[in-house]
Amino acid sequence: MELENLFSKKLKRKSFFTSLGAGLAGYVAMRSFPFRLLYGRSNEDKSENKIKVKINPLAISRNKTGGNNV
Amino acid sequence: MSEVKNIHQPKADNQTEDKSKTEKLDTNYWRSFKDLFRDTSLIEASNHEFGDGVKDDFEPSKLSGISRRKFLALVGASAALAGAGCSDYRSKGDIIPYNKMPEEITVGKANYYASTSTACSHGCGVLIKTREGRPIKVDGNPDHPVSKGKTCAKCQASILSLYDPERLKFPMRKSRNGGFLKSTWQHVDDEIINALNKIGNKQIAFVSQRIISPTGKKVLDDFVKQYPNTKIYSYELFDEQIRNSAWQKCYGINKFPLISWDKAKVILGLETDFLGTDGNKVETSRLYTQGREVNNLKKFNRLYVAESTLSVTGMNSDYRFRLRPDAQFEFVMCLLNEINKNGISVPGSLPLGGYSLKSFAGKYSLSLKNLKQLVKDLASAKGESVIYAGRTLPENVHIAVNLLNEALGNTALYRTDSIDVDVLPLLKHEEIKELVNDMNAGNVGMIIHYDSNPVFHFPDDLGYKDALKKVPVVVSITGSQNDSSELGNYTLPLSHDFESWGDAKTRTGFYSFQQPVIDPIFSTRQKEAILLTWLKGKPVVFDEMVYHKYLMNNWQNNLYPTFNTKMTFTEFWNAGLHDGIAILEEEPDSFGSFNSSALSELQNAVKASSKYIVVLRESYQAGDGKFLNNGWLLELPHPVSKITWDNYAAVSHNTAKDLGIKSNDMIAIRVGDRKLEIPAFIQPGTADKTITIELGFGRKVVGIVGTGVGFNANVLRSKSAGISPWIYLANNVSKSGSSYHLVATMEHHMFGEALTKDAAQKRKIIQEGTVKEYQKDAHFLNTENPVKMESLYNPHEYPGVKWGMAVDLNKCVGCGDCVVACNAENNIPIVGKDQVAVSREMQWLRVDRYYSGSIDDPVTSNQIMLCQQCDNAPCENVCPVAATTHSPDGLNQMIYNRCVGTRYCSNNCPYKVRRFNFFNYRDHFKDNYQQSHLLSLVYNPEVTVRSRGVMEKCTFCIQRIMEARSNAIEEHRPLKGSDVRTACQDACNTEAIKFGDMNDKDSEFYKKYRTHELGYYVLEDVNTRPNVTYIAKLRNIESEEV
Repeated sequence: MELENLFSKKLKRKSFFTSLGAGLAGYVAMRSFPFRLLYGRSNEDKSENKIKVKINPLAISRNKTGGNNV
Repeated sequence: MSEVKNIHQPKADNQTEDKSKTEKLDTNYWRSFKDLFRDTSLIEASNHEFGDGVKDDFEPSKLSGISRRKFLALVGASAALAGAGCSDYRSKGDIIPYNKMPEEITVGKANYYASTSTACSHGCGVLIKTREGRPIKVDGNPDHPVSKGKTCAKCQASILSLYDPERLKFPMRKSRNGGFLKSTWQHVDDEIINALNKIGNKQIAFVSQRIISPTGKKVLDDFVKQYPNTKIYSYELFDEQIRNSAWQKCYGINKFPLISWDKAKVILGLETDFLGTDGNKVETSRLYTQGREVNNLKKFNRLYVAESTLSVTGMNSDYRFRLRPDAQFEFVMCLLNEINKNGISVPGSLPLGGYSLKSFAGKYSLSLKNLKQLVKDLASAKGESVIYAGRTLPENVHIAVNLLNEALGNTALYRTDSIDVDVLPLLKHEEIKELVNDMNAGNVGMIIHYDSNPVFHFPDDLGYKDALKKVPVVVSITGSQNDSSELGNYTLPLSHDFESWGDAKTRTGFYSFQQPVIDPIFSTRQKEAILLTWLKGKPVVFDEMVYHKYLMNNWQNNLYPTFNTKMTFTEFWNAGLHDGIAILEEEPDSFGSFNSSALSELQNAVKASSKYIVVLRESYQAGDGKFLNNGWLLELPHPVSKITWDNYAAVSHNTAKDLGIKSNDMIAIRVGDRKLEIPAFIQPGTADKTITIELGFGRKVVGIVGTGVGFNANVLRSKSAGISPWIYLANNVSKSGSSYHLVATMEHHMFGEALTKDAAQKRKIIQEGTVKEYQKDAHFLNTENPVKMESLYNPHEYPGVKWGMAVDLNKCVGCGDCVVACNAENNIPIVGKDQVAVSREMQWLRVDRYYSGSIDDPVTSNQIMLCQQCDNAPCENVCPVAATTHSPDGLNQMIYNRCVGTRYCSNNCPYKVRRFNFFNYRDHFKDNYQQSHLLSLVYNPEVTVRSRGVMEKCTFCIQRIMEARSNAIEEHRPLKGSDVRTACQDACNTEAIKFGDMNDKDSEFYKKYRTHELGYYVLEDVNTRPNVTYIAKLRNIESEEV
């Protein structure tokens, strides 16, 4: 009896595709939603993302514990 | 056990008419008025875990119910959203090894570069630590003859300015609508060179702060040669001109000599903070504390201070007199009269009879007994004492002080081996007026702000800001936008010190070198290179090496030959860069004999007034305003008041009563037609009717960190100096009606004083005595038999190295330099004023400042407090996840990844030294300021950056211990205690902090500090077995009384 009830309540094809379509639309909407706007504003410049650290080749390094030369 | 008693109980003094009713108050240790008067709000607050304003109430019964279905639906939705969010993962890039490894770099190993700091004009020698090419820490260069391996807080913090996200990154020019537009160097160079070529007979004015570079000066000389209408105006907000001028009148040369502070037995400081901001504190505090060595009592000095408001120097005095600055002249004349009466002849024929010390003591409510002791000490320490007047005092006081030193034979303590050198003498205060007149008359064609901010520094009534409008071309060469650059046509970005070449000459006997440890991060140039480009006279392509070549040429042709060395120039140059200095045999100018004609200046001395007097001082935190965007410094508690993120008007409690105000009330101060509204703060130890304000705050144009910080007291300064350019009589002072919230840390992390009256004394947190008492009985503290408590656990064995620290409270001056060094070394975040207000400052190290005695004349005790690395650490027992454990070398460790943030450990720590990350302060503070990619470069890669929900605390610089251990293993030798120096120890100017192996019984650390008879442990009686030893402070007062 219960099994019969279950089959009688089965999803119709049209509703199935409507639900699937809505799900897909929701997924696409989530992927393309600009979540970035919800993040805190960053005060950093885009140029900061390109920071390159370069040693000055003419500087003379030393061992901290090393003696002096003069 | 003998009870520790207060050694400075104020005595009823016959000569003191009214020592106020505070005399009757309890005189034990207190931190604030709330503490002193047992304010119920403080006791109530101590019952809560969180400070006022923190909403921590949690009542489960008030929560709304939720059905199972709803709960599951929410979990499902959260999972779906999390899945969708995480699917947007973007690669941060691959980690790849060097394609071509730079020769200097060994991955994981630090490199050090010797250089010169220009954080201030003292030019201290520094060693800049770099990791994989980026500078991460500044320490002193031990080879430097003046700073000898030490630095101040500003120098330590200067590295933060290198990575300030708001640094200027490209040149800018002003648009027609008044805003600034991004430009290119080529464009601005072309326009400025054209303007220079068309300047005609109009003046080109350079406005600069003190220039200490001889080669930088040569560039300016070359500029003057090419453009003869050029004038250089150099200035400092605080300078030594009055002291030097007085010296010239007395001894014939315009340079006050250096002082052998270490040889002085008696020191009298008059309105001077020589251990804080007056002069080169790095050197002075080191030399001064060499005379506070408990193991050499014969050399133990005695410090008297007469000042208007408590300073770092005043905090360290043995005897202190509260005195308004306009009474200092009369005070010195009284001392001259007294020593004259003691049979010491005073040069000249001054009428001293009218100056009575007794009536002076009565007039200013000073202790005659102590004043007589001062006279006695000065007379008996002839030739071995120093009387030193503050740079802000008027010239007549300096001349009178020179006379007093001359009469006492103290000229023997003026150094003859070296003297300060001015590469370019500072502008006389009157000459600025001439510049403004020329600007107003249209005679100035171009102004170049040469890394300076005169609009902020010059007195408003000088009219410099308005006169700028009449100058056609205003160029500002600056590291970040400031009040002066905002009003100019061009803003040119300046390279940081660590990106620049240079040299410095601040003393005779040596030169120091500045070398770039990193190529400019942005499109910035150093100021000398900018000028050399303009000197080509026509638009040119910029040569990045232009100043390096110029510097080397100048050294090769002009300076190197003066050294008479056998080294080739290349060897000499490389050795100089390696060492950071080049020693030169040089004779300083000697000063002549005392010129009595200078005494004629003393006839016109202004007598002390009964009006309110305004004293302007240099800020410990913001300097002259240059560091107002530096969070490490702004969050450093003021050494005396413990206020952070603000300046204020310090007044005495009597003055507050007269004005009807309390701390945090706004007051209006009127000096002439100038007015300032600023919050008042009742500072114990302040002279009545004296208002002291620190300058350097309240800049209008500053980065996000410094915006809205403090009040600009420069507006009270005038072109016509008052008593001096920094001291003025006020027309009127009144309560303005509104109030403000000053944030201080003085009541944070208290040792239960709020609950237990006099806890600092009863629980022996502060222990001190007198020199005489110590001489009489070296074991007077009686620390050898503390209450022994049976332990419930078997003691741990520490067979190898066991780390310990000792803090000599005789040498700790309470400056807080160690706090900034610890911030830099251990990636400690800035939290901001709002978080400090609720006791959430993150600094691992704090300097506890206690007052004792009366409000009028408090005695101050400082004690640095950090994790005591207890053997029986109470924090370890209560951690539910074993995130804090003990190491085999005696360290109490934190495992950040294990910590779940219960805060039980902090609650159970009797020393209150644990800090909890209530937020991820990197994105919580000032609009993500600390989250910036650029600022992230300052982090020490050996120290984990902690996030929200994690507890942290001092680690005894475990990363340094691990590095030393690694080196020892590599060198096949055992690790020694002396292999490790902590960051706070490195920074401490006075060597108050010692670190070492407690198991090495032959080490100096063990013999001299760990087992010292004056050594004690804080809260030893609770059986925590702490590993930080405090050497009790000795007061060098005449009384033996405890």
